[in-house]
Amino acid sequence: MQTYKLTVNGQPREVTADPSTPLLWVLREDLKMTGTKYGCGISACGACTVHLAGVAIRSCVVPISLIGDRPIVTIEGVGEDRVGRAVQDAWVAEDVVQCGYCQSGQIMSAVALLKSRRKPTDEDIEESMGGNICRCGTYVRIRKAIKTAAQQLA
Amino acid sequence: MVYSDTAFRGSSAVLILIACLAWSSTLPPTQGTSQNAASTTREAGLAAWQQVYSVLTNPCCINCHTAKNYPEQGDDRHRHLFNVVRGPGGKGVPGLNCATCHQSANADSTGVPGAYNWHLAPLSMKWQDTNDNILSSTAVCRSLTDRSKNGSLDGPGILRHHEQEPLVLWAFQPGRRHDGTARSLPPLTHEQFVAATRTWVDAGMPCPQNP
Amino acid sequence: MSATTMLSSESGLSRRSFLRVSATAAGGLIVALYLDFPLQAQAPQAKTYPPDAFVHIQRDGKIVIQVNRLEFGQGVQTSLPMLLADEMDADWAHVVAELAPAADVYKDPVFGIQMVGGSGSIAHSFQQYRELGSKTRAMLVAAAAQQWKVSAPQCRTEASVVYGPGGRSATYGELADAAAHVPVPENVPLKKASEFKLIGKDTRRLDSRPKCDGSMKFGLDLDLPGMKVAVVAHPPIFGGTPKSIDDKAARGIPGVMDVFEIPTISRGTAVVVVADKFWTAKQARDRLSIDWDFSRIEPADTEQLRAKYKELAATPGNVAVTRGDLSVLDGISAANRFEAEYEFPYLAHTPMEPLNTTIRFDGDRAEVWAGSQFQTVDQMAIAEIA
Repeated sequence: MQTYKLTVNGQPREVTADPSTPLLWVLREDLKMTGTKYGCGISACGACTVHLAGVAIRSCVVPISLIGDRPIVTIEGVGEDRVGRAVQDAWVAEDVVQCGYCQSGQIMSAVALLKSRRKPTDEDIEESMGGNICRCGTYVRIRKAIKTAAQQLA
Repeated sequence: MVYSDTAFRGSSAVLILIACLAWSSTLPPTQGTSQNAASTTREAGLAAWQQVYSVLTNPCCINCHTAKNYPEQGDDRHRHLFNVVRGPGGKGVPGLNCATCHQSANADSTGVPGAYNWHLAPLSMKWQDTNDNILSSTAVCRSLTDRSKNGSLDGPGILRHHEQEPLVLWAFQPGRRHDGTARSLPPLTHEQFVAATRTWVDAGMPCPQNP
Repeated sequence: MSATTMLSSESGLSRRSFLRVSATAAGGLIVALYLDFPLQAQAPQAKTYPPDAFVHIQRDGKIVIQVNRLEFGQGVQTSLPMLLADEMDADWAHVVAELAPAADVYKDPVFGIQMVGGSGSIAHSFQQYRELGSKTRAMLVAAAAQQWKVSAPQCRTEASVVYGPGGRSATYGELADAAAHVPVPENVPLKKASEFKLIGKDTRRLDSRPKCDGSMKFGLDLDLPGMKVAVVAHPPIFGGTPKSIDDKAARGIPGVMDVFEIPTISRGTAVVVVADKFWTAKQARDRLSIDWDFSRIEPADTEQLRAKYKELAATPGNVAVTRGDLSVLDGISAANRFEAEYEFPYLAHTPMEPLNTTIRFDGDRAEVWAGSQFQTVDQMAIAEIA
């Protein structure tokens, strides 16, 4: 067990955990932040996506020992920022969600895309979002919502 | 001089012996002054190249030296799962960067390999064709020594790359898979790989003539 | 996700039908019932659905509607409240939908168990929820009429307000207490389709925002004080049992509390690790060394099954749908007929959320939280074991 100092959504947090513990479980069980979801545990589905120093990561496969001092942003905090808020609003406006289990991850990936590309094309969206799977098949609305958000942010 | 494949294989034992002798003496990286010295150096170099080639075309290296829009993974070099793509700089795309999963060290508890600056080799450094067939020893050698393709490296630069580049070092300590088993290793140790590279560079980076 | 409480008395399902339900709950039951009851809007069986089990009007005007189904993306947590709210003339902006606990009153009026599936939610609860909404409206109007000493027909309702003669008005929140004392009317009128304000109109889901900001709680998100986590090592083939288990490495992980066997529904045995946290339990489960015994299982062979299905498909069976007059085929020669055989692969109903359940059991009473598709059936299954 080791103690780690983290910055999560702008707040300093401290946890004591086994170094091999994926960040996902530190967030969910130690910090009680359950917005980030466990869908597969093998980086296949994207439901666990959070931002680490601005880069989208799959928290289910990144152990706490490799985080260092890079700041973490989760679905609970992504709305504090203009792009995050626009994406969440677009998601609601377009009625994207169905069961919703994948959507935390979808939103985090979409925010990463929009922070990098202000006007993503269909191909950009397909490439960047292609690793987030949705059992309910909301892909068409996800694409629409990303474009809606891009328009809002323009 | 033209070397046939069979002549090569037949004399490989002799060549390796000569390569060791050559390595232990410091020969300049040129053709040499006498016919004899030149052929020994060249033979030693070619033998050493075969060793280098055996590492380069091992999955640990060739999985990222692809000719396509995506990396490969595993001993069977299947297309990397999860729809990851090359992206403009070989680092993936926003939301699906290499760094989305691959950190600066192996994550043995989750089975994700890692090393500093994990990314794909540029297409100019591909060692397989678009049908996933590994390119021949001659083709890879020519590609590796082409400064317009290899990131402007000269011999010492290539040697340094093999000695120090984190992604190269990773191949020799590739970590554990998700099921806990150790990943396969290249046919040489890192030290052997560097030694073979040095011999080859010292010999003037000769390439086998057969395509 | 909802809390269910154990009921000590049986709720009317005979033992035989319970066994049939529990054995085929996944697919067989749904198909059989579909064939017996074609999907049309059904009048609920003669049973009183007390509005107060379904609607709670708070003093501040918030209207909490209980949904008698699991919401798992299909939108029932929005659509059933729409039915009720429309007939009730409720202000949609004040509506909050909750997933009902397991109880007799929430059973599907046609299937007789609390469940979701078989495309039955709207078909079987359309009438039910509309009646509930209309009854609630009638009670609110009656309460207002009483207060104002006017007759009910002199009042009208709109967006959570009752309007009476002489410019009088009162909000549903203001009338809630009084309405609770009004007897529930037996028969109530239902709106004509032309009067619908919500039904048939493009309406946004009620659960979007919480699903977009991480606040919606799914089964795995539940956290109770002192809660432990159990992870199961399932036999790789249904019905398998461990010949031997080496749990030394598993128990050696700090935080692991116990390792033991449990029976599985397919008459096999699985091995469970209980720990303080998921990652601990999962690592320990992965380090179990289990030698499985499959000798008592009749092995399933994919090719054999496929051949059997093809054989069966050629024999007469239950008719699901008949359209047109089949006898017309008699006059058409084989050469002019077109037959097609459609083969479906094994269809795993994969949820995104890994299947999970939380149970708080004090020896006497069990409280269960689960993404359960068959709440009252699960209730009985747990009662059998506990």
